[in-house]
Amino acid sequence: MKWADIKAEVAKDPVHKKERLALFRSIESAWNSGGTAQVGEWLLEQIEHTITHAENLQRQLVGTRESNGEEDTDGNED
Amino acid sequence: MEMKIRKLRISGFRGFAVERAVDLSQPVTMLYGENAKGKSSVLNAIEWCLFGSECAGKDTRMRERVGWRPENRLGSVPCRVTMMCQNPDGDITFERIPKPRNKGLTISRKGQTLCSDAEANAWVAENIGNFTQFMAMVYQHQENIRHLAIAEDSVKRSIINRLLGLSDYSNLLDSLQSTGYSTFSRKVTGVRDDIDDIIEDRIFGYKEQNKVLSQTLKLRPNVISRKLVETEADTLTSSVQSLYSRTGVKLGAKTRLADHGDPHKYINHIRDTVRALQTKSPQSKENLRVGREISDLDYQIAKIDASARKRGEERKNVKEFQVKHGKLGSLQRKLNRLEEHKTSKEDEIARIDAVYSVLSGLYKYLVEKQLGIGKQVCLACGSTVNNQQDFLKHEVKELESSTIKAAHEELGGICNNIRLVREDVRKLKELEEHLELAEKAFKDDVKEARARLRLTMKPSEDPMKILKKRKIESEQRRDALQKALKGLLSNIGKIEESCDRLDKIVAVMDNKEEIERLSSIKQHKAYKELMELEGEADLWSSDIKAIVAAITLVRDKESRARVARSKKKVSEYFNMVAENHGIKDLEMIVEHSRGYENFRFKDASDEDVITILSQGDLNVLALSIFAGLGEANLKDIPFQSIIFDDPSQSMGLHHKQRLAELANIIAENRQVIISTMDSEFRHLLEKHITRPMKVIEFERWNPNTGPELK
Repeated sequence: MKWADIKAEVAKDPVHKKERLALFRSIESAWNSGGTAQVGEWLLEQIEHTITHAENLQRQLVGTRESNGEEDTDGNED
Repeated sequence: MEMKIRKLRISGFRGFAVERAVDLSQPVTMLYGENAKGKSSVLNAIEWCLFGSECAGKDTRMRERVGWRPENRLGSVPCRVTMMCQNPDGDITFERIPKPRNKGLTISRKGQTLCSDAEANAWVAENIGNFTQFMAMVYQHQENIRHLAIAEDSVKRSIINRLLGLSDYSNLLDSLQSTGYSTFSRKVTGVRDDIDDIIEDRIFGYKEQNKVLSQTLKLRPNVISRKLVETEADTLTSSVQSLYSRTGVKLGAKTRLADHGDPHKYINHIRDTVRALQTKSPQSKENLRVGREISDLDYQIAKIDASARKRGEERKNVKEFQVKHGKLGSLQRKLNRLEEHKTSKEDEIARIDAVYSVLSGLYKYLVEKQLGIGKQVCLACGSTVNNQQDFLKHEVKELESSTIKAAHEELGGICNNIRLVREDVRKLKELEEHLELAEKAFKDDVKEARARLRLTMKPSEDPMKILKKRKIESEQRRDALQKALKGLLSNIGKIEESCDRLDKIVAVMDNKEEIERLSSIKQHKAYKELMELEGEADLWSSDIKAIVAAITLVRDKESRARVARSKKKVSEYFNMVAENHGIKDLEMIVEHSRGYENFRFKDASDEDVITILSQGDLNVLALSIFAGLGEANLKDIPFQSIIFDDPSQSMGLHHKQRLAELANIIAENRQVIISTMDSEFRHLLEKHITRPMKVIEFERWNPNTGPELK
């Protein structure tokens, strides 16, 4: 794996260069510590974490669709 | 680092039950023998010694490696593989034993340990490469050959990438792709869209509910406000206070809306308060008491009625008996008379018995003495008798047959009468006892009723009449109370209806407030956070996409470079070995489609040659690719060995001859190890290989020791 070449390619795009390189470093680091499986696991964990966070925000705002507004959606006590 | 394998020592590994040494020091080594004689175990030992568990399992993408175990089944000697390699800087020895987490490798140089376990694995990764790279450049595996030429694009791509040493790129790209990163931001957007839909649906639902509620309340929705709730609650509280006041019951605290704050709690409290009146009001209490009294009266009336009936029956029994048999005094007198009569009769019988005894004794005396015969004066009475014996005989007979019998019969009749009268006396006494008990039970029941119901009555009065009169009075009282309670229940019902109405007004207000809250959710901090998350996810997806593009670009560049270096060799080897001379200038082409590279093999006429190749030529093509890639990229290969595992499959004599010639060419630059079971190919190798060659024969396989080498 020519990580240096890949990094140079990633760095070519000036848009969000800093964030993109940080993400690249995370992938490279995961690969070095556990290979392909570790990269997949790490990335999936990040994605699932973000989706879970989004779903928690949804529950906080409107509960779930099934709760049909019966849930105390704003955290107010009776 | 340039290495060649010189020697192997294998023990307790796969088919090797005991230790065996395999000399690989010659430029060409042929492992020759039938199937299942241990040739492949020697090749496996080389891989396992370097890479341990990396060369087993699903990740190798080789079917026979799933469930693969290094240890020999007999386990008679510990599993161990030692591989001695020639290196310009000093020979290196690799030694591996099975250990958890792929530890167990020790590397030494000139007898000195360089490193072991994880450090040794890292040394191999740095100086030799990983298992995939080793398989690409060193070990030509049968499964690669079988699939390389004819497999579908994805399989072919995987194998060629492995041969090119680029499978790490492809595996990484596959792994990134499988996480679904490209649809990830859409999922976060989906969550936000879902919130918008839920808000819209719920606002619509609450508005519809309010329409229906307003129609039921006969109020325009805009009239309904918190102020209206307060006004209606005040009216409700007044109604409750008034009702409690009318019924004379003390009203508890917290009857105003302000006491509760939450209208739902207030309404529930009011409902409970008015419902409590059903049991708390004096009329209710009196109604309950009168009800209980009527039940008591019913019980006492039934009880006294039963005991009176019993008493009447006992009285009737005594009376009927007295009429038939007389009263107890009369029966007693009758009994006395009979007892006297019996005594006198017994006396009479005693007298008759005495007379009989005298007369019968005299008669026996006269008969015995022959006296009293003829006319003479009676010795007993002095009168003149004709024959005293006859007279006495007649008198004794008369006493026996008539007088004594009659007296005894008369006595028997008297005794029988005494028994009958005594039985009547006993029976009458028993009936009188029963009557006495019935009288007592009746008196006790009346006494109990008087006590329980607090009745005052004269002894001459009939208790049943008194009780029945009292019951009629209680029933009249109950009817009057129930009439009064009906009014109370009606009032309670009206207040409950008002509670229902207020409930609906509050529901409309709750819905209005919920609509307001839902309408303002988009200004909520959490909603804004979600929007930011959506933006971040979008950015993240595009960043990963860019990284994926960079990895693909680097891989393709590398791939093109390696293919460019190799294709001349591949073509040269193919044209040298293949029988089909109609194919000229075979070219290996890399095409890109949807981020993937596909490998094509075309000839000068730009035709895809795969479809017209025989099975033998397909195998030649696969071997040419393997050998060609290896030769062209030789400088990248730390191991200067090449291993062919059964390469002459499906080949005819011509193919085999050319393949032997090719092996000889490769042997000029690399150490060649060939495993084969093909005797024809063996002879061809022996004929065409010009470099020094050692043949190791795997003659037979002993179950207790493993392969036997010659």
